[in-house]
Amino acid sequence: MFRTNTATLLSHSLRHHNHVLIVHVRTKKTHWSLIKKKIHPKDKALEHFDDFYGSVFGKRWKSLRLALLSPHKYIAVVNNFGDSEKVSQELEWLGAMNIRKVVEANQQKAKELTSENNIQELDKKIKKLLLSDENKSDTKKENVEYVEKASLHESLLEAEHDESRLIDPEANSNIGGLYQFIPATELHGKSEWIPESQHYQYYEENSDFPINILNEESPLNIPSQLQVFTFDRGDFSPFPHPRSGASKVSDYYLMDGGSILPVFALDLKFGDRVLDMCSAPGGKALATLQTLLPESLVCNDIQESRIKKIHNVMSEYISDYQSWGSRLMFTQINARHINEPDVYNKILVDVPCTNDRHSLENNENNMFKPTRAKERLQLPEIQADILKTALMNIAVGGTVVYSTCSLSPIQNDGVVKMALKKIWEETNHQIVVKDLTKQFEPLKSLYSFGKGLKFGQMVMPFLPLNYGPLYLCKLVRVK
Amino acid sequence: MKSFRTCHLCHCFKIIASKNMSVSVDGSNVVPEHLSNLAKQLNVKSPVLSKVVNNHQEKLKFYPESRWLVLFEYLTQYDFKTSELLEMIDSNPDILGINRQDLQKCMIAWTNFSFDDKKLRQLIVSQPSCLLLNDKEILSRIPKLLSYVGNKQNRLLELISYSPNILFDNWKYIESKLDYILLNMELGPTQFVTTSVMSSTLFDLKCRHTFLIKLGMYKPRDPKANPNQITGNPSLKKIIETSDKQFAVKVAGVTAEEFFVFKKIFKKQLDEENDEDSDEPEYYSDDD
Repeated sequence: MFRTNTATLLSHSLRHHNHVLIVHVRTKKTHWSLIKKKIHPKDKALEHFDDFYGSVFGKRWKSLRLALLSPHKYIAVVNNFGDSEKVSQELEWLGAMNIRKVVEANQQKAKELTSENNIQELDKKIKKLLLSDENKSDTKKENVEYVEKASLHESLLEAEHDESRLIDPEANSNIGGLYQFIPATELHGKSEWIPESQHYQYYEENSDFPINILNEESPLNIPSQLQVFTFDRGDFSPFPHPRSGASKVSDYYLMDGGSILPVFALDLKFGDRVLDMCSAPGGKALATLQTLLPESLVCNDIQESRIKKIHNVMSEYISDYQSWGSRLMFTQINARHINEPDVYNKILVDVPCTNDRHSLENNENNMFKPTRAKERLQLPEIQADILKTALMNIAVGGTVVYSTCSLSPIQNDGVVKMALKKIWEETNHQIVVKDLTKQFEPLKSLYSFGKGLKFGQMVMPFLPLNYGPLYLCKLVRVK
Repeated sequence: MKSFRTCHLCHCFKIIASKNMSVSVDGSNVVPEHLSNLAKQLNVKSPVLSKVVNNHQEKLKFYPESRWLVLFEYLTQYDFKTSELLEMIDSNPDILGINRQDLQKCMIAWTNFSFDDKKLRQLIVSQPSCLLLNDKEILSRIPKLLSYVGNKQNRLLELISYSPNILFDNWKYIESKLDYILLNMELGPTQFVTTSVMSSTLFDLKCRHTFLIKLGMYKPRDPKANPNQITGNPSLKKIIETSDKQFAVKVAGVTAEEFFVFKKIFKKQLDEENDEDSDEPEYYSDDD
């Protein structure tokens, strides 16, 4: 009876689904207990983050962890080389909001608030003046003015020996000071067992060179042609798959919400010459092109396969990009070896990083594969080198935006500091770090920004606003 | 039937309420004659009886006095006190609808499992709905449940007193919940019998458990560690016997908004998974 039953069942299922019968052979590798035991790069990444970020972020880490392990939110960049007006209209009907409109509304609100405050302040001042005849100079602005600080060579000329810092080799005390961090060139044996939270300690305070940090005063300006859509806080409706319209190009490009911020931070103007040093897969480059502002954009990446990815994206969104000539160029050089000083006035440095969200989601192309341990530990060095190259090449007055999609303070503020130090030691360039806190104020309803960073801004993953992680730092060369 | 959700706490409240009742009622109302007769026959205080009758006038008027007599007569054989019986009727008047034959079968089925007499009585007093089951249901359900609590009679009684719905719900559903607790949450019977986890939905349980896992607050047991070692995981009681807001803020230590958003996403994910699996039809037939 059993046999007849199974026979009918089989024929039944075959008739309906046209299944190909796959007979699973249990081999050593497919045995469930082995599969269960296997530690994937994802698990390694999680373990590493638990240890490292747990010590960096403390109690906030679990909230970040939750957001990182949940599906993230996308934003849609409308393709201006297609039927952009119709697409924007459709996205609005879906309930998405245009980021520019949100920003403008917030700026308007802030203006009204400040004007009210100004009136109140004026009232107070008048009262004060009336009460006391003395005109005190309390109202002096506490704005930090830019003070030119000498480079290493210049300051060395005037430097005196600091006797107090000489270490007597005879004395056993203070010997620890000699063991400053020296980056490892090779790794042996138990390299993976070094918890990176210990590694992190090396990067803490030793600020013995001048860093200029200035507040960015100008308000956030989103290029008028750039249409970016997203859904409201806590709204997880998906964007439908972008279709290709009448002009055979896709309607909009979907990317992580954080990735648009470096493009905002570049503050693109008409006629800019832009370099994207590590461009693949080309999302930020495409967003840059969507502003219709730059005179030329050069996309660089290190591998041919990655260049191909950029080509794929471009061909999907711009039908005639190959005939653009010098407006859109592709190069394949190691970003550390680029040497074209004073050509570009905007450089986007989106460096390779541990790519936190990707590392937790995918086992493929994962930085936490045991075979890539060396590469991973070298990341900060490489990142600092690339940023240094960018700062060397940028034209005077130009802007470099450094960005990563990692939460690690080493790869973020740490690298910026290392690069600035190298620039200070090796060149006469004057670099100013622009603090974007004030400029990004209108975006606060859309992103959850991290606090307590020294140089840059960080988009923290937070479940209702599940973007990022994305770190960015704006650097301007003034001399 | 799924709405019976009472536990010891409610039971205590009931006792307190009934005591107050008896004090407040004294002398204030004139008890109708037929009730005082019935009270005499049942050997209970007439004001208490009238209070119970007043509480459930709508339902009780369908049951003749003979039903009261049968119930009292039969259950006093099992050492139930008359005050306890009144309390049971007060909490679930439907038990008067059971005829003598069914009652007999039901009690025989219950006593068949050699539970501790006193504890069984306590259970039935606190969860009178136990009497509404027919004997076949009891005889098939109890052994299945016993196997999940390590064949400990007392544990099972405790579990039922917290969530009597395990006697009534679809067995497949109950089984999936028990499996989830034992296999996915890696909890033993001692940890879940003293909670009302079985009366919560599987979705809530999964959702809260997954939430804690993603926060890194609920870690799987190390298979090589000592099984008696205390894990740092929050207790099941805290996980399940809290409101959404309390759970998010007090237990998980994050904002309520995050949990609400997570719940939404989790529901969507489960729905999508179910859509994918819908090739194989699911059978929701009762086991009995």
